[in-house]
Amino acid sequence: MSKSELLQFEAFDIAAKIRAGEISSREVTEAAIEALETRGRDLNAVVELDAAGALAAADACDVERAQGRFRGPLHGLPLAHKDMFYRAGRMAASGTRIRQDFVPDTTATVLQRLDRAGAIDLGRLHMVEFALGLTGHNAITGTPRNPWNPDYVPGGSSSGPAATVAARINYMTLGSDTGGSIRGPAACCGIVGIKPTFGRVSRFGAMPLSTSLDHVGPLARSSKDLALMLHVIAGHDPNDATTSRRAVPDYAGSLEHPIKGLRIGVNAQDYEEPVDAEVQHRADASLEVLKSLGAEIVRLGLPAFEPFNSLRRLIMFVEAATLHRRWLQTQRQHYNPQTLARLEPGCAIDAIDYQAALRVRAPMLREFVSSVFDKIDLLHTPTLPDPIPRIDESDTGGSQKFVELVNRMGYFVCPFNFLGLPAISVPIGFLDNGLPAAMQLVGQPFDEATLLRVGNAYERETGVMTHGPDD
Amino acid sequence: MSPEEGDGSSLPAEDVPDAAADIEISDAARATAAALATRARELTVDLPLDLDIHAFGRALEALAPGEPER
Repeated sequence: MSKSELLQFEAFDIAAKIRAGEISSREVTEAAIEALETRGRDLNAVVELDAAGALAAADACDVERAQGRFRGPLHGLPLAHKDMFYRAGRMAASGTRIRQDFVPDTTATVLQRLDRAGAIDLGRLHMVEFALGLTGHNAITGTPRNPWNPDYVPGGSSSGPAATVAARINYMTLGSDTGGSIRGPAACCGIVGIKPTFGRVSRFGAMPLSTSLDHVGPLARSSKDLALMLHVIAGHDPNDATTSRRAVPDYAGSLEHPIKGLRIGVNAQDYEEPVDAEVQHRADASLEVLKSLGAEIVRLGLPAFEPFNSLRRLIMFVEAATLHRRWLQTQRQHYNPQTLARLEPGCAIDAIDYQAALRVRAPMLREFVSSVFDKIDLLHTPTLPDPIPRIDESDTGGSQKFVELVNRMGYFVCPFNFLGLPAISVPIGFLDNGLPAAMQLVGQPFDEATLLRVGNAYERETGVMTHGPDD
Repeated sequence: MSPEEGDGSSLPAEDVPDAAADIEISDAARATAAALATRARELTVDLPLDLDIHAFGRALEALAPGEPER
């Protein structure tokens, strides 16, 4: 089997092959390193790989396998991640000059859990500066390219991670999502990504942006792979007081349950932001597929999204400005203009308004869940309201035009950071520009399993994930 | 606590610095902040403000489908 063929497998399948001894971890790791060093560099997705360390770890996994010992479900599987997950003693630059020499002394809980499950850490991938932006632009490190067309944005802030998974050079990856930074790049790059319920996955050791809104979750080539990684990384963490003690379900075990009878809600009225006609057409077609699988499509009047988006922005601006205050005072010249444009407003917002915005989250969540989820099991929206923009047409520095673009791109995804509800982005085909479109499915608190089940059913029915950008 | 212990009481109120006093903030950023604050006041004025800092996490737990977990 060629190295390229090895990389075509989904994570679940290649992990099974390693476990069965059909292929060695070294072969798979060598293939991934070679692809990331070539195609990954072409996409400007790679910061730094630890080839020697990864190959040594792969050899150790192969020895253990030969002895019948397995670390966990990801035994010997090589993965590269966003450059914001701390590993003790290794740089974590978070896409910025300001932290270009930062070496943490702790390891992120999610990386510790991946390690324990047997995954091999290949290295660090490019991202938007400080994870603050939905397009993927980063003037400091260079903007990663969309593997379907390098003239288009890959989405952000998990730009490098999404690009490498989509290009079939990274099996799956970790992302963070404070305002769509998992779901947006997943949609732009034609892969799946899930933002779990707030409290489902630990943020300890992940670079903080806005602690009330930050979520960590996986991006992958299938919902089955998302289920695999989410099961590994989810669960209570004493180092993150916001994590739930709720048991982690067997996500993979319920993936194949039929979706017949599930009630999928769709907005019966116009959103405040108009949806591009071609995007809407694709979204409608995806509903027809789900209906053909036995789901019941329920049209209902949704609450306006604007209040959630306004309050989310206020909270994020204040919390980000608080974290960045020292650097805004001393290293302002090192920031991207796009980052500054979204940090400065937080310096001019009153503490009373910030506290009020935080305090209404619980009542607004209760109102949303009681008014929406008494009629449906999950909600369906487009992930992005427009076709994916080109890099050049959307690279507008820190201008108001850029801020407006980011706000519009985040219209459907950001409410669920404020509400903390789980949400998955699933590809639903391609638009006339040849770039992917995606649907977002939103679930009840801690019901990631239903989202993964519906995503899996849709992927199986349509075959939407069966070819990559280089096929 | 005495002024020497750092409670700030020896300073006239007008001398307490703004947390962001020496940070440059553009007019556009100030306008964004003002618009968001105005909107937040509209949205929060009639809503019950839950003063428990753990209220949001507890609400997510309580609203999850199925049997409640402990």
